Amino acid sequence: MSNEPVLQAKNLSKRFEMEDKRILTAVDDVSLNLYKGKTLGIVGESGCGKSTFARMLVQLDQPSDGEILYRGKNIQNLKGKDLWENRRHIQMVFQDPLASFNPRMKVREIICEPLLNYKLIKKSEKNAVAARYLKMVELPEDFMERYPHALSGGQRQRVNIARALALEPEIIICDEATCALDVSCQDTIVQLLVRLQEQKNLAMGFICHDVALVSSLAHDVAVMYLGNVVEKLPGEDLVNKVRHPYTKALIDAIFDLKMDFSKKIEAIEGETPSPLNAPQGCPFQDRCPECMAICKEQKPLLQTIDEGHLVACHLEVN
Amino acid sequence: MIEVSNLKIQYANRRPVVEDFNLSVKAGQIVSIVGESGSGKSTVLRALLGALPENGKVTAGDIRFEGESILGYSKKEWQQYRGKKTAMIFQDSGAMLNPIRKIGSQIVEYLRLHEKLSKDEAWEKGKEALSMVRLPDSDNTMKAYPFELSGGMRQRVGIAMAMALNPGLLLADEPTAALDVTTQAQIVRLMLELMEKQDAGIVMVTHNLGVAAYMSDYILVMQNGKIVESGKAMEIVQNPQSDYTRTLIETVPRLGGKRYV
Repeated sequence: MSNEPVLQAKNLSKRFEMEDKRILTAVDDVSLNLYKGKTLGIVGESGCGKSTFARMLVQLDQPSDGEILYRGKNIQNLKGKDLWENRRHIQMVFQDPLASFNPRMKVREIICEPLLNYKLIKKSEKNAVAARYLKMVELPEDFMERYPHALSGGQRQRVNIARALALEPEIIICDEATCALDVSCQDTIVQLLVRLQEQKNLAMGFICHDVALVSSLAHDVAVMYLGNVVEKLPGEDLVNKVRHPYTKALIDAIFDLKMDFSKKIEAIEGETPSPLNAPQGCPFQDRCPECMAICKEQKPLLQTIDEGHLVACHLEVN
Repeated sequence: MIEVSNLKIQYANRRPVVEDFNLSVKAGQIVSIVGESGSGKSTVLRALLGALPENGKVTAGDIRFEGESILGYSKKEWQQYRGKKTAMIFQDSGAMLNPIRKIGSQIVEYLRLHEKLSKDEAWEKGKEALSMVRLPDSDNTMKAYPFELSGGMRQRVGIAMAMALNPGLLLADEPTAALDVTTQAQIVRLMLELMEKQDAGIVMVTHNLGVAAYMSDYILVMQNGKIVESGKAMEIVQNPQSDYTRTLIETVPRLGGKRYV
C-alpha cells in the first residue's frame, strides 16, 4: 500500500467519565489508516471499542486524545460550516436502518435528503436521482414510493447504502452493516458493497464481529480487544498466520461447517473484563493461556513482525 | 419423547405459516431446526411449548409428548408440562428476567411454583443450579439484579433455571445468537455437558448452521413454513440434497472460504 491514506486515525483515545467519576476507556491509543479502494476490517467482541472508534471516524463522537486526518488535514476540531462541508466525504452505514431512517419519510426522501441538504440537486430532480440510486443498489424504481416499514431487512440495508453513497463520499464506514441479515442476504449485500467499492474506488471501514466474514472482504484487518488493537494483518492471513493469543482464541471459537465435528470446541474461559477496570499491563492477561510475568506489568506495544503484520504481544519479543 | 406429525399452524384464517411439519426427538438427542427469518422455525417451537400467540392455532396434525397429545391439555396440565417436563431457553434470558427483582428471588419463585419446597430449600436448589452452569460465586449471583450480569452470565442463569427441574425436553430458541463468539463456544460446551448428565432431549432453533452441525444429531431445514430437507446433521452439512440447503451452506462466511476481494 504505497499510496497515501485518505483517512488517518493517529493515537485515538476515547474516555468517558462515569457518574461516580471513574474513567471508562473505550478506545485506547488506536492508530489505523484507510486507503482508497481498500477495506479495513475491524473485528472484536462486544465492548472492545470498535463502534466507538467508528463513531469518532465519522465525527459523531469527539476523541479524548489523538487526531483524525482527512487527506492530511486535521478534521476533529472542525465546527459549523467546515464540519458540515467535511461530513460529505465520510458517510456511515448503520446496523439497523429502521432505527436510522425517519419512519415517515418515503425511500425517495431518504435517499435525496442528503443531496438536498448540500443543495446538490433541485427538488424537481428528486425522482430521477432516487431512481438512479435505487438502480445502483439493484432495487426496482417504484420502491421510491415505499416507506421503510414496507421493505425487508435486506432491501432496507440497500436503501441505507444508497443513502450513504448519494453524496459520493470517499470514505464509507459500515458498522455491523450485515449482521442483522440472514446469511444469503448478507452475501448479496457484501457483493454489492464490494462492487460499489471497486466502481467508486471507495475507502471502506468494515466493523463486524464475524471474523470469517471480515477476512473474506477486508484487505486489512485490525483485531481489537478492550479498546486496543492487538493485531493487524492482511485479511487473507487470518486463516493461518495469526500470532496473537486472542486472535487465535477468536478463530478457535468459530463453528465452521467444514470443521472436524468430533473435536472438542476450544473456548477460552472467562469474559472480557469491564473497560472500567482494565488491568495494568496487557489487556488480555487474565484470559491468556500463555500469560507471563511481564504481561502483568507492561503493556505490549504494536510492533511489526512481517510486512503489513503487527502484533502487540510480549511473546513476540523472543 | 416428543413426536410431531403433519403439523399445520395458522394465524387467524390466513395462509398457514407452518405446514406438514414432522419431528421426533428421543431422550439424549439434539434436533436443530435451521432456516432464515420467517421460515416458521420459531413458530414451531412456540407450538411445542403451547405458547402460540393468541390468534395462532394448530389447525391440523398432532404433538405428542411421551405418547400423549398436548394439544388438548387443560390449564393445570400445561402448568405441569411446562417447567417440569419441558423448559425453554430463550435467545436473551435477560429479557425473560424481571429487571427489578434479584435473580435469587426469581429462581425461588420459579422452583416453588413447580415443586413443594420451602424458601430455604428452593434457595439452596437455585444455588446448586447456578453452580452447575459454572457461574462463579453463586451466592453473589443469587443476590444480583439481572443488569449486573453480562450477557453470557444471564444466558447461564436462563439455562440454570431451565435445567433446574430436570426436564426431559429442552426447547432452545437461538440460545447463543446474542452472544460473542468466545462466549458462544462456552455456552455450547455447557449445554452439551448438561444434556449428557441429565439425558435430556433438545429441540433447538438456530440460524447458525455451524452451531447446529456441531451440536445436533439431526437437522431440519425449513423454508417458508415447510421442511425442505431433514436428516443426520453430518449428511445435511456435507452432502446437502436440496438447492436451498446448498445455498444456505455456501453463503455462510468461512475462514479460508470464498473471498469477495
